[in-house]
Amino acid sequence: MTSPALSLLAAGTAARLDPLHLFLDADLLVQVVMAGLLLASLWVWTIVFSFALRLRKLRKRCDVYEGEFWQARDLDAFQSEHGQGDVPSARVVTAALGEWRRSLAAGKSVDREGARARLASAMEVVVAQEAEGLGERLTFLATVGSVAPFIGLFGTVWGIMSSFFQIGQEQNSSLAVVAPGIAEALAATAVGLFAAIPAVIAYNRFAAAVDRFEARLQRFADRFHASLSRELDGK
Amino acid sequence: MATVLRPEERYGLLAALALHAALAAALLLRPAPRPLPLPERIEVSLSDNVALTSTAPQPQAKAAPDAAPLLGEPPPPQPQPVAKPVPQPKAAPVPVPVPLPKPKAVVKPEPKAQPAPEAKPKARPDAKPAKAHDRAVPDPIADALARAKARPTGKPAGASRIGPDFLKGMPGGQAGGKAATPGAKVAGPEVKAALEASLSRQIKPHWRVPIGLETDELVTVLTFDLNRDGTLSGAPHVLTQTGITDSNRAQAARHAEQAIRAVRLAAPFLLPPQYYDAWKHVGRFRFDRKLSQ
Repeated sequence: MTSPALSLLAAGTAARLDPLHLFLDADLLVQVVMAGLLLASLWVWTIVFSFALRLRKLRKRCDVYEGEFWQARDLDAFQSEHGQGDVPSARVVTAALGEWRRSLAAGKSVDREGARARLASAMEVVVAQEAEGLGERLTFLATVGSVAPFIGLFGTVWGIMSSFFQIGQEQNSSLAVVAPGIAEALAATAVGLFAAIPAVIAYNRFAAAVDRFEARLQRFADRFHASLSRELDGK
Repeated sequence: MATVLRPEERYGLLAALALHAALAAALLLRPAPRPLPLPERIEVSLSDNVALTSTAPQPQAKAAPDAAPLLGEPPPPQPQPVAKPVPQPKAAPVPVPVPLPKPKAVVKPEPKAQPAPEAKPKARPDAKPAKAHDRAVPDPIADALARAKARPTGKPAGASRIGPDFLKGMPGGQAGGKAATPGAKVAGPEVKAALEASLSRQIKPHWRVPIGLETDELVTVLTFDLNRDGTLSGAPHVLTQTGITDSNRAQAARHAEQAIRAVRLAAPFLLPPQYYDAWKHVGRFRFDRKLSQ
């Protein structure tokens, strides 16, 4: 490990595009910009991985839960047995059952229309809440995707400004003097794009995934609502 | 935004960190690109070495009037009836002037080729000519001088079948008098070119175009006088300056100043004293972008 890395660090001069030297030689503000963008990129990828993991897990759990749910004889028993974990469908069922009990326990004569409307809205609230919780981090992806290029550009403009200023002071406009400063400044834009491109792609994919998941949950809620309202007719 | 990491987010953070670290390591440890091999160094010398001969006026250079009528019987021992303007002198001190196949060695005799030319069997191909040339003429201007002397002063051989006094007293004819070609009083264009090249070779290292917008367009023409030992006599001064635009107007004075400074730094000049008359007054010396390259 030591030999190549240290020799590279020692060799130092810009024989090739070395990201470490690009970073260390840059202006302080450019360094701050690049560090911020790198942190943003880190967090973007964290969100990407965690979201993918979470979505897969939730889908699998919902599949399992819903499969068993439609087979269940006794809903209350089934719910108390299976409905405790982090399963969106189970939460929808829990909310609906709670509303069902409250509606039936309230009076002797059942207001069927009112009960149906309350059941529907109770489930809808839970569905919306689940989708919102799932898409919570995605706003950060959208922000990074749209703003990171500008931040990088800001660093670049600043770096080029300061390197032009130095050129003016040195009274020498040869390419060897001009080029390194501009290369360092351009690195900021590169880092900005590096953070922004995955963020935009991930945001688009994940927003669509959240929509699909919400639609699926809504379908489940509608089916459950239909069976509950059938049940209600019997009361 | 929640401040507490969910369990999946911990895994995600680890994975993201690992990926970023891997990318940084890949960029850092990537092997350096192999530098392109530098092309073989080729030294090029411009026309300095060609223009080496002094040209004093040579009346004999004109072909003799050949078309004269034949008088008497043709003399048999003349193998070449055609006039040759420049014959080979018999006692020429300089060999046939082919010592310039590689003008490289003229500027500085090769130090590498001399110490051990036999040690390496595949030495540079130009080692031999360089050596031969070192022996012959180290200085182009001295060479020019020598060759100018070597010019035949006699009549060209085999010019005519008419008697030597056929055009006696007529200008341009082969008078057969005792007057030899006068020594070069006025340096010919070739000598002038050689002197000029030598001058710019000596000034070039000290000349630098000032930095600024469009300073490449500026041209300063200086005039200066030289003493016999090559030192400056008096100060150089600006004859003309052209190429001034709005953007480089501020640099024009500095351009001229740099030019004068270059001349001052380059003095004393090393120029052949035989031609002092030709270089004691440098009438127009041009400082421009090309000189600095």
